[in-house]
Formats: sequence, structure tokens, C-alpha cells
Amino acid sequence: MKRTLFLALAGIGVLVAAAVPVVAHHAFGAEFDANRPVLLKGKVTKVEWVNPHAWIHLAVAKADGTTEDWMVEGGTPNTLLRRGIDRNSLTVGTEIVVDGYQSKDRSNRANGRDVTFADGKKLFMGSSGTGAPRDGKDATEPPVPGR
Amino acid sequence: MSIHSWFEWVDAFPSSIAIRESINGYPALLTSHVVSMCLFAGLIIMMDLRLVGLAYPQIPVSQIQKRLFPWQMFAMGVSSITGSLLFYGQPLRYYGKAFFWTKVVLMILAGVNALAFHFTTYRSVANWDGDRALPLGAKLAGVFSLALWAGVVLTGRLTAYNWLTFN
Repeated sequence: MKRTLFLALAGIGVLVAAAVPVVAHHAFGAEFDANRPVLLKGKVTKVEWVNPHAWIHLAVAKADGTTEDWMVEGGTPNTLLRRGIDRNSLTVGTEIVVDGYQSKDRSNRANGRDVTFADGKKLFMGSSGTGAPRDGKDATEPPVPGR
Repeated sequence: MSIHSWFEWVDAFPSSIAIRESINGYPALLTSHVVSMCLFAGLIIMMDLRLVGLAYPQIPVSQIQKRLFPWQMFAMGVSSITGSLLFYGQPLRYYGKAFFWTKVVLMILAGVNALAFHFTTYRSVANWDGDRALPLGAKLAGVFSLALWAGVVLTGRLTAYNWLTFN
């Protein structure tokens, strides 16, 4: 009886421990679609430097001359700072191109993979290691197993 | 003043903004909240397992209570303070979250359950202290506590997602 109970609790413990890495980040897969890559080009209209995820709002220029408002999720302010993005480098009016993945609900929201500035500088936005597709572009990310 | 406008008022406090925009403060608060929550939940679970008859059957309940209680209160204190500060830093983020308010309700119920146990069944602890199978009141308190705190942890975790968020 005691041994069975111990084994049962140990088993539950292992399962819980195994599940933790999946949910430890507010997982990419919970809200974004890896099969819907988007390339957004436009001017920054607002940046919310908030935890646990910063949001960059931008007016995406469309072919017909109008703009469409999008909001792109980045990492935490801390993550972005370490990746080289802060209040001074990303201000309202900055022209950027964001490479990311659209939300599953098909609203104008995306998870940002990287951002490219007008001078060609390209910086990651903190989605690495959160379950976003590992395309090998980010050298700091562990390689895809079996490759 | 409606609750929403009261939340908006708090949301605009410089100290609230400082927490949500902080580089290191927010991760430190969140980490402390999770670590103290683990300590608290772990100690609560051990007491509950004694009440339902699964753990330490040979140790008197009052002994377990006496030893665990100070640690439970310490962990609850840290968890409550860090949790309150996290809420204070983003009141509008939590305002429309069904999981967050479910968590609050479950915590209140868990508190009521613990107090009810201590002011009713536990008063007669001297009569059943060393028993392996405890009175129904104690068993029920243990079962309710396990279920309610498990619900608190679950809804707390789900609060991080944007599911079931209303404006």
C-alpha cells in the first residue's frame, strides 16, 4: 500500500516535471500559428514596454496606399534589452520590418521573430525557445534535434 | 466610481507603471511568487494528506499543525505580498480575466474552508489527535483544501494566457 502510493506520487511528480518546460513560457503554440508566417512592414505607432510581453504597434502599409494596424508580441522588456532593442532604438515613427507568425484567431496580432531596421540591422524579438518554429536563424537557439 | 475606473486610476500610478515596465523587478516578483507558492502549496498538501489519512498516520495532527503552521504562514505572506504587487502593476490586464477572478474566488473559499475547520472540527482535536482515521469533518476539510488549492494553482497558471479574457 505504502509502496504503491509512493510510486504513484513519484509518477505524478515525473509527469508534472516533464510538463513544466512546455508551459513555463506563455507558450507560442497557445496563441500563434507556426503555419501562418507574416512579413509586416510599416511605421511604429506605439510601443507597450510591459511585462510579461512587450507589444509593438505598427501601421502596415498596404498596396492600395492605406494602412492596417497590427500589434506584434515581443519578449519581456528584459529579453528585448538583451537582444539590443530598447526605448531608444524603437520609437514611434521608426520604419521597421517584422518577421513573425499570425495569431490563431486571425486577428491583426502576431508573434515577432525578428525585426529589421531601415539601416539593415536585424534583431531577434525574444520568441526563441518559446515553441516558435526553430528555423536555425538564431545562433543562440539550440539546434533542432536530429539535424 | 465603477470598478473599472478605479482600476484605471491605479493603473496610472507611477509605481504601478514602474512594476509592469521594470527590467528586473517584474521577473524577481514573479519568481518569488512562484517559489513561495510552491513552498506554501507543498506544506498545505502535507497537512491535507494527514487529514485524509494518507500521510504520517502515526503522528498526532496537532504536532504536524504546530510544526508546519509557521512555515505555511511565512510562505503565504511572501506569496500574498508578491502576488498583490503583481496585480498592482497591471490591474487592467487582470480586470477582464475569467481565470484570475476564478482564482480569487477559489482562494477565498480555501481560506473559509481552513478557518471553518479550525473553529469547528479542530477544536476537539484532543479527542482524535492520534487517530489514523480522522472525523469526517477533518477528512472533508482535507479533501476540500486539496481540491481548492489545486484549482488555485491551475487557474493561476492559466491567467498567463489570453484565453477567456473579456473587456
